[in-house]
Amino acid sequence: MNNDTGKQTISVGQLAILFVSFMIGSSIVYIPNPMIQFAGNMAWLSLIASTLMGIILLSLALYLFRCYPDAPYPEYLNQIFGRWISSVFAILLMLMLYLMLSYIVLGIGNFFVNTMMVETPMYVFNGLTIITAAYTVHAGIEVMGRMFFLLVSSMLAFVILIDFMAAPIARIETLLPLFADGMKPVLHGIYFSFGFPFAELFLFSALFPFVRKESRPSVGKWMYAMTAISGFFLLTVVLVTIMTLGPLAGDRKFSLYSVARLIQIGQFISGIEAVVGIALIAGSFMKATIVLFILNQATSKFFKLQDDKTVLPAIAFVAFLLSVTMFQKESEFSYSVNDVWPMITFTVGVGPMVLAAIITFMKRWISARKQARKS
Amino acid sequence: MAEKIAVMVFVGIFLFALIIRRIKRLHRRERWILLLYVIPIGYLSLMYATNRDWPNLHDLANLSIGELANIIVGWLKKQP
Repeated sequence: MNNDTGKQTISVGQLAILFVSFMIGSSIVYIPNPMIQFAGNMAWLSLIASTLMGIILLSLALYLFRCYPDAPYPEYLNQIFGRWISSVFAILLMLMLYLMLSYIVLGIGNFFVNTMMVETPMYVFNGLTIITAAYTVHAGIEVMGRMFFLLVSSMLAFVILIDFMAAPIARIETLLPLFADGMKPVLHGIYFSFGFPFAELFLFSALFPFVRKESRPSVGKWMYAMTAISGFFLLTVVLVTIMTLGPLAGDRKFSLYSVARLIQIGQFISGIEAVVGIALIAGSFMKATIVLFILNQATSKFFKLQDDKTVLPAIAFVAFLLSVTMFQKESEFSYSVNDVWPMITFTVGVGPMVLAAIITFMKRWISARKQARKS
Repeated sequence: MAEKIAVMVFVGIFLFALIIRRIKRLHRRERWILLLYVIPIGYLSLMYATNRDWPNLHDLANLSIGELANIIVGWLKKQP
């Protein structure tokens, strides 16, 4: 449905679907293994803490949405910080999004090359992902919202299926001992899991203005519910991974895929990891599409382009080239994602948003006090 | 190298096919903005085709914010 200005709009339910696909999409494949490496058996506690921190960040994003309902992030930074500072934030945001998009695309290629299709060159997966994502973005956010409902449903259905089917081989004793190495591993897990994916939810401030005006009052409760659901799904995956893989949990890449490989029921249900792998990668594809959409919107607004699809192919092509040139070794990619990426989201994303919320609150409070004195 | 060039041409054709009809209707300013992208695309294409390890976007991130990240992660990894 388009509004009067021809801009595509989505319902709050479609926003929720996009949000879940964004939060869980690539996280469900890539989060468990590093989290368990960092936090050990206490990875579940790190995830709970990160989810709560994500909810606090979401409250700031929603507050700014209520204050600036028709201006997407980072456009409203213009009104808060002024033109020059907001331009610096916008440029940093765009660079961050290029990194994010190329990391997601590279992650998809990495997954296929390491698991199912080891002989196929990675550029095949990177190229196909970016082309499909670009065409999906070109179709518009409405198409994305409708299409992702099926993909998200299948992804979550498979996750639930694996969790249930892994129950017979799960061992609760592998969750012990608690706090074996103190608090630092838990904090390390929080540093990683908040940076990826919970801190990234600030990007959804760019999509809130696409929600139809009549649905906007319920955006808050849907977003809080979806954040909690995302946290819950990630938590179940981490718990199942620890309980099934035990001491190997931190060593096995693509933990959920590894768990799926262990599942065998009778003589007739086995080898379901291939189907699961496809469902999981659909999640990464959805996240890549949403990031590309946000990057395209941010770039178009920054350059004040009349047609917001003008630079889409160029952006996608740059992201593809970044994904095939950035890393010579997998360890470099792991370092960039596990250690550096959380700090990037804190400084480029969370920092400006927190500052914007504080300044907006102060301005409104001072303005309200002045009006109270006058009256 | 020929394989990599073929990959880039293939991906480029599929992507730019999205706006092939719009290019004629673009204003001069929009064409210049699109042309700006020739710089990073050219640089990255050359890097990819020749398999060189030139400075890239993640190097910018690692050298700037990465230092702070190293300090924090180093402290988190240190055993009490």
